[in-house]
Amino acid sequence: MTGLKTLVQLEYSRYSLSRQGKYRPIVLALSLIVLLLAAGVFLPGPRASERSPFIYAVFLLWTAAIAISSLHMLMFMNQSHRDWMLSFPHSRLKLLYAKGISLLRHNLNLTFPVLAASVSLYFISVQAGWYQPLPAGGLLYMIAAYTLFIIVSLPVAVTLGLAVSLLLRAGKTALLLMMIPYTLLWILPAMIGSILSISYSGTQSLKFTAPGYVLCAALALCLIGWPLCYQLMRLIAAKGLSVPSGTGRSSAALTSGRPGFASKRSNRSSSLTGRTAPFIILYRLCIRRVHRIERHPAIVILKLALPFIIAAAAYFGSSYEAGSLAIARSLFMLPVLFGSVWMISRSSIERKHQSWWLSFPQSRLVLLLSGVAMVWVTAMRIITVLAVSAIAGSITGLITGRTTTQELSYALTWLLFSFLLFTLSLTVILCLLQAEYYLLKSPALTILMLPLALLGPLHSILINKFMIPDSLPGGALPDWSLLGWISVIALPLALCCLPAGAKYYHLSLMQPKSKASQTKQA
Amino acid sequence: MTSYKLNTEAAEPAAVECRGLNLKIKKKIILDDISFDIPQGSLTGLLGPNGAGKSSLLRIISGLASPDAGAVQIFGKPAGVKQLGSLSLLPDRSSLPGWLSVKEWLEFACGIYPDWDQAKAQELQQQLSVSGESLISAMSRGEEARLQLLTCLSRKAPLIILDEPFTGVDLISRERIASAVVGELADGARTFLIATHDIREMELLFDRLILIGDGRVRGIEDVEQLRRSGKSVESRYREVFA
Amino acid sequence: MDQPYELLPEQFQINPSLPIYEQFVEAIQRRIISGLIPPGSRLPSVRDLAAGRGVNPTTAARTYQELERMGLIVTYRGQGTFVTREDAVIGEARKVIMRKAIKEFKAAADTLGITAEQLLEFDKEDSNDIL
Repeated sequence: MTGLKTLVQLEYSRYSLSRQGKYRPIVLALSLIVLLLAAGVFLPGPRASERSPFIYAVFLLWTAAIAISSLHMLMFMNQSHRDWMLSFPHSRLKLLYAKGISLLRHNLNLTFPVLAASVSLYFISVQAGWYQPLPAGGLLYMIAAYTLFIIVSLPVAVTLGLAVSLLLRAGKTALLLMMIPYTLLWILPAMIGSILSISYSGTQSLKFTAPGYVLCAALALCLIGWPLCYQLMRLIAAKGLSVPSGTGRSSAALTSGRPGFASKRSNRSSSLTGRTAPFIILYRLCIRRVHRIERHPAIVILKLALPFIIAAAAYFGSSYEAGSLAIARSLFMLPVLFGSVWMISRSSIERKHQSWWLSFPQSRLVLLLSGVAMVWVTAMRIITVLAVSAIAGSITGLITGRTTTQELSYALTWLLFSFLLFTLSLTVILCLLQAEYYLLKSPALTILMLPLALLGPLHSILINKFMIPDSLPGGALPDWSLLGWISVIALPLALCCLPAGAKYYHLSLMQPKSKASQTKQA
Repeated sequence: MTSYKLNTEAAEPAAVECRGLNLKIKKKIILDDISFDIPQGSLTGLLGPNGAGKSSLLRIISGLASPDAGAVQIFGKPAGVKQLGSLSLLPDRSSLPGWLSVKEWLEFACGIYPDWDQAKAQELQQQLSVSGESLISAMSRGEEARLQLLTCLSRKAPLIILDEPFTGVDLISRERIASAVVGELADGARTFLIATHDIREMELLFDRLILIGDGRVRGIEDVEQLRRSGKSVESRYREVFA
Repeated sequence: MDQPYELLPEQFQINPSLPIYEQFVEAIQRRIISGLIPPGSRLPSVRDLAAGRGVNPTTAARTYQELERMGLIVTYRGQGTFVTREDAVIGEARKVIMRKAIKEFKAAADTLGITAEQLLEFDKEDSNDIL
């Protein structure tokens, strides 16, 4: 088993913070705690009852564990050290366990600050008089129960995250069948959270968040979830860790594509490129990749199926107020999230092309903008399709007599409001994210990356708090002036980030880690 | 003529034995009925133009990928992940974990590879002049190529597969790599399979050639016999592919 | 152990279109006969010869096998390979090379339509002219 230990250490060293300086982990942990505390004090959800800080900690860690491990797996498949690692003379299961265990260790590292923040939030809330303090024994019992649950659930979440590699290797039909439930896993906490917040009329109303129930859940997870994960790990090791027999890594396969097809396209584009603005050409170059991915059969089927699902939801939802609000709140959440995550991970995914990209003779601003435009247009296309299908669904409801004209206009107003709101937030987030390159300038600034990166996943919480709140009086209409104010304040700020990012775009070529170690050596 | 080592090994299983390998990707034929043997103790050059299917073939031989049809045997056992212990692969266009320093990587390698030879690693580190402190991601291509070769050769694996060990490597590094390979081969215990474009660098080293083009075997040659008929490796390559 | 001689000249050019071990045998043989490599000298190991010239070790091994068969070198187990000290063997090898050289010389004369003696005669007169 010595091999396993070394492999775990190798995997762990990849993202190990202590390699980047002695105080780095402490600084990051503290800033994470402060950030979470601020969010906890600011938002209504986590301070609703004495249990809620811990419930939210569970949600956060679950999503983080799945996200970290699946992103790790997705990126691993494109990394240049993949072939080396896969040719280690150890069984695939051992390699996979090494990945799992090291990810688990990272997630446990993350658990400490999150739990610390939860406990602090509890005490702050008690101080502020939001709820009555628990007796010391009860508090310890609750903390212990939730901690145990987190520790039991993390291996499950990590395994589920690693299982993303199965999706990559799965056949087309299987992929389609698995895709939707798999995405649901990610947002599972968000769904439970919204159910909870809806039913939070009284503080103690929910029995199943009581420590006793949580302990039972942990036990159940241990007895059912762990054996399932054990099997799943074997399956991933057997199926998910294989290399495509083709020439390169999958990104190479994506870009190389079919020769006949490529020449056909380039013929067409060569007639277009005559005297077009450089921005348009660069944008086309970017978007071509999206087009290629879109040709994947699973995505084609998803594209066909999604409008109908949304239309059906709108058909049933728009006949009552809560339904319309729920649609307005959640419909566009995923595309914006998708856009921001894509934007963040783009620089690491496309590192290989980056030096080529930056050597183009166009201005950096144009290069940056064309990338932003690709993400924006793609996300907007999804948003528009969703909006149109929702509208179609609602109108069908009117025609079949399910909804009244008044209900319809109410639903459509909120839909329009949320459409504009999410478009605005997508634009703002994508522009703000460009400051990323500026922040690479110094290690102190890179800490600011964390809140910036969190902006994408968290934007919907902000929106739901201020713009489309849960507790609306019946028949309330959206506050359009708020929308106006946001665009007046946020848009200029966000646009400022573009030139700032463009100026330091080249920093994305540097590997921050090597830079850090060089300065350390000097 | 003195009896010659190459010809007396028929009793042992071949280091690599490929039978009827076929591979298709997106309707494009990558490998088409590839069959050949590589006897133990030989240094075989796998030559062919870009896109001939060399890398795919080497992936299949090392067990990282599987063919659509056909079978590969490594020392008489079917190729696959289980055989990774008896072969040492230098993958094409791949890099070692870039976040580590050379020293750290070598420590990890010592734990990862059960057949790691620490003394050999140190000897090769001198011979290939790989310095221990530098970070892998900050190394030049030539340096990293030498480190990758060092990793491959410091194992006791009897079969060594190098996929384009010279891409982007400067002249001096190339000579160093070639001479390290020679040093390893001299013991006679190891078999080398090397895919490369740099024929001139390697042609004096090869004792067998497998020429593949468009996914098919275009020739299997004994280099000594080629020279007897007055041809060099390079002229044979031109003859087949020009 | 430092070798006061070189087994092959530094700038020895290998012709990749001919068997390499034959080229090696030929060159080393001449150097032994001419005394450039003195009798009793120790030869580098097969490995060093191969690594030094960048050739396949079997080529180097074959070179030594061939030289050993001719009796020009001797291998003592555990000590290494040495140039023979038997003058008779070296003398015999010299005769072989001399015969070969004469044969070539005669062939060259033949292509000019004269005898070898005539060619030598010409050389004598020619060098007298220059002096």
